[in-house]
Amino acid sequence: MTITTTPTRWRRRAAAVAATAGLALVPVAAHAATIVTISYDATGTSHIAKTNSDVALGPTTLTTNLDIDTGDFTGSLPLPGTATKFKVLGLLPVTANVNFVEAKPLVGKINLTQTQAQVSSTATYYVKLSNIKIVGFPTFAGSKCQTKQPVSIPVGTKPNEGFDLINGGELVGTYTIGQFENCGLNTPLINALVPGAGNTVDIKVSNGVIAE
Amino acid sequence: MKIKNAAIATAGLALAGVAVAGPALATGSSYTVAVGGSSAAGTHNITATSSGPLGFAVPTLTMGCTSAAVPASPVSTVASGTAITDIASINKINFTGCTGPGGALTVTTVGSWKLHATGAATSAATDVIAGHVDSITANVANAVCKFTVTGKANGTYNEGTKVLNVSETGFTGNLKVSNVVGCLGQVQNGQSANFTGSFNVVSPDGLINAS
Repeated sequence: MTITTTPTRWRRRAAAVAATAGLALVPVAAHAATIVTISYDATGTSHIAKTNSDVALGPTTLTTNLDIDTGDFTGSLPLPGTATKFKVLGLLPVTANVNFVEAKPLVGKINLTQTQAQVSSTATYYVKLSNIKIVGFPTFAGSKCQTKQPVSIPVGTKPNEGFDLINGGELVGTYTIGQFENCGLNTPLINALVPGAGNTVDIKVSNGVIAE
Repeated sequence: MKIKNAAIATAGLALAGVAVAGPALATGSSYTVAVGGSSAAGTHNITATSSGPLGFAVPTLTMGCTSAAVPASPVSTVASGTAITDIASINKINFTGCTGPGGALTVTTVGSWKLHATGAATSAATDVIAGHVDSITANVANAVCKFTVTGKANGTYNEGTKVLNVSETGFTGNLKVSNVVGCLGQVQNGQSANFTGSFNVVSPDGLINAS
């Protein structure tokens, strides 16, 4: 097990202020956050409400850096590229490659209740589309066809379901996909078809390994 | 049934700090203890296995183990003789299947736990004697949480069924938490703890009878 100590910013500031004020004789509490890094296998799916299609998430590795004093964690959940297919108006088949580009670190908290550990977390990605084909015909969408704003995907343990710090658990959530840009002539079509609320995500996390 | 021990008087002596035969911190009364019908001074090996799950808790978290056992090694003993205060010395308990919020825990006992009695006991072999397990120290740990529990736990010993029933409930303060590391802020130094569980005691030298 590797335990890394990381002084928090406010403590560094407090120490600096104390020294500047000539308070060197007054001991400053040196307590630092204790971080434990745990990596998990992660795999799941996301259902896109508007297109009524599913997107595979992973398999991948979820890495968390957990402050064991507070339960707060940061981390990453890099998602490999995947593909989706759906039908426009229930008739015209559309396929596209989908990439989730991490926009900022995953953040979250593990809260211990009387009998369970419950997780809440938010991952943030740009959703990027490429290789869009309609009825099998390629369409030009460019290489920067992605959501204008990062998509925040909040996930957490199901109500009354706990999370095992080693064996993992199931994380679910609902999120909204915003407007796309830089998709060439496909931009209006994509924005008519994909963005919207009520998209769901279901990720199974397992095999936690504590960094040595 | 004739009550042979002077439990109250002896407890009073102990509280006054003038207990002669027992250890300085003994908190039980003194008894005549016979093992296999003999009260000759000596020690007798014991083992024990839990009957059913065991529970432990702090006010903010509930934890438990599926089973526990007092192994043959290191040796745990019952003392026979007169004026016995440390009726049993339990030198290790192996806890298995321990979990709490967030998953598995390891529970490691430290030192020698002492079985002290405080209740009335007779020469009959069917007494249920009140007392406590004293000198408890146990370390609880997993990847994100470590703490120590120390103190004593109330319980009874049933001479007839040979069951030691530990029932420290209500967060009385008999057991206290210390040396907390991590625990996501949910275990605090100074918290009271509960501990419950029943053990079937095996005494190869025979029935344990305190009076």
